[in-house]
Amino acid sequence: MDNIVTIRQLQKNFGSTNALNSINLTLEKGKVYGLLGPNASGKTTLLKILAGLISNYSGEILIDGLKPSTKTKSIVAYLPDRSDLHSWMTVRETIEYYQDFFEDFDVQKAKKTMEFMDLNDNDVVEKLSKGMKARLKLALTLARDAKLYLLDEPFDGIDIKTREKLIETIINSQRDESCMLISTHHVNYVEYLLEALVFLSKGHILLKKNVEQLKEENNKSIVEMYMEVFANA
Amino acid sequence: MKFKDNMPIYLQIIDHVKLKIATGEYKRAEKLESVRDMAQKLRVNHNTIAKTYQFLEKDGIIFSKKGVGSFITESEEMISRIREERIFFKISTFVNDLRVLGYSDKKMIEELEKFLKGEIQNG
Amino acid sequence: MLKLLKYELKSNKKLLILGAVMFFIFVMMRIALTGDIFGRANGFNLVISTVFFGGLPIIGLVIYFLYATYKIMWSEFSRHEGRVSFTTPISGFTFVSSKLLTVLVFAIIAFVIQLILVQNIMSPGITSNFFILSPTSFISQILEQVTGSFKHILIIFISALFTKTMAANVKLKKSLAFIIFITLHIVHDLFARVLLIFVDAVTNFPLFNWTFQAGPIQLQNLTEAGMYFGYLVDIILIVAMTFLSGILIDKKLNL
Repeated sequence: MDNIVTIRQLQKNFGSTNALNSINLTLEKGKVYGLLGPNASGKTTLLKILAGLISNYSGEILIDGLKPSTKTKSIVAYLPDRSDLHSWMTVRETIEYYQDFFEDFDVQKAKKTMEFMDLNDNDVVEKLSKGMKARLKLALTLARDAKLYLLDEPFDGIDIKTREKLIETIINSQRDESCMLISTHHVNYVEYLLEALVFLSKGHILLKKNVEQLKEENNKSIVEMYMEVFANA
Repeated sequence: MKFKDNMPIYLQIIDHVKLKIATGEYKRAEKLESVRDMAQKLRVNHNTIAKTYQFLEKDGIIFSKKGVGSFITESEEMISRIREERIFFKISTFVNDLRVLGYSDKKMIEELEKFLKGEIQNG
Repeated sequence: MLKLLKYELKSNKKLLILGAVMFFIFVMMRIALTGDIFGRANGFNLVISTVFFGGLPIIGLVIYFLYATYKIMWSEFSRHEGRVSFTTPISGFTFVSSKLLTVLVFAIIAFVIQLILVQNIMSPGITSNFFILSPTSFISQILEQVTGSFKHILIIFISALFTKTMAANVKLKKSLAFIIFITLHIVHDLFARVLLIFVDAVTNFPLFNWTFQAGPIQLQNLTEAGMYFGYLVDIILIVAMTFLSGILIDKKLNL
């Protein structure tokens, strides 16, 4: 299996705090990974580095064989935990924007998903509720045919209906050649979607294993394993 | 479909498919959903389904035609075997459960007959 | 780049419209004054023209331009608004360049209006000419103001950029940025002085006391050449600083 991401000795400090402590990690193409860990474990930092929002770090990172740069941004789709769209745009304008800057953007898929999410062309981003913003962000991100998807807490603070729509969209967007890295506290929502788990705590990787293997070996659910792994972390 | 959390999903889906064959919901030589469609329907990772299909094919329960898709086995024998396997599993579970409760084989058969005649009520 | 400009301008649509409206109003005002609508009562004319059609609007324009520049250059850094820009495959240099070009649009609006207003102060209703300055003088004034302000904009931008890049997690990052700002300013100032002395020395050298003519361009001695040389240096500095900020964004970003 090919690796889409190879990370060696990645170190990121924020002042005197170690956000990521010399971590090593590889991610395979076509797999869906769950990035799990308590707050401040370094999950968002890791995703931001892969997405290109943080370019100041030490260590080696390869995304599809390339160092994170302007080039890798065209094959990496990032869904941030905070809203990052231009607030003055309408839904239609956000689609145009993504189409203008991302070659792998599928406009038809985006429009279909927007309809599914009950988003109207003329809705202004600024005026959308939190749930609707979450739907818009995900619709745009997954309409891209990227090689690596980075989803940072897609289910944070949203209503049930939105949650169900987001889950369904993620499930329907699985692509054979794409790798997905989903950072979430709400493991139960995507439990059956995750193939492998990466447990991160205080900048260290505690465990990385296939879900099925973990279940066969331990007879536990993901939530139970999480509690066990982080009992002392 | 509701999954158990502590058992690998693919095993549960294999069981699920066998159940549907046993009940006749999946008919002999019938075309199965594609990996993609099945993954969407059950809301699981498509690699899990791919693995499931691989195992089912290895066991001869399904077969695939390149470019067309996957199909339930054409062998009547295989389908009977699946059904028998299931019945055996159900019966052995029943027998073991009653043995744990202290019933002898003879008593078991008596209780079973009573139940089938409608003589045992719940509660 | 064009696409970027499209979005930058769309993003500041309201400000742009405001600029266009102001332009229209002040041009009309200038015409009105030139046409001597307010009569020839000197005292009335002078005060009205200077304060209301000169000074106050100019202050308003400065605020307008400063605000537009801040919004264009910094909005994606200050809040999470529009941070999707940083995930698009655009180099830092292109990113900063597109912003500067957008600021240029506002700069031209602001400086042209300001020149018209200055004329209100200089000659309220006395002349029947719309422009007091000659076209070349007008253009060179604009050029000077643009290059001058852009150098300063970039110095401020680079200093501020430190708080979002290399110094992002340093305790006193704002003070550090300020120190960098002062340093860059002093360096630039010294450099400008040295350049001036150099150009002065060269142009006043007896050997170079001639007139150069190429088509419509006529340069007396080398003084004017020195002036244009100054602009060239400014532009090189601006491009260099844009490049530097691009590198900071590409290699040292810490959002």
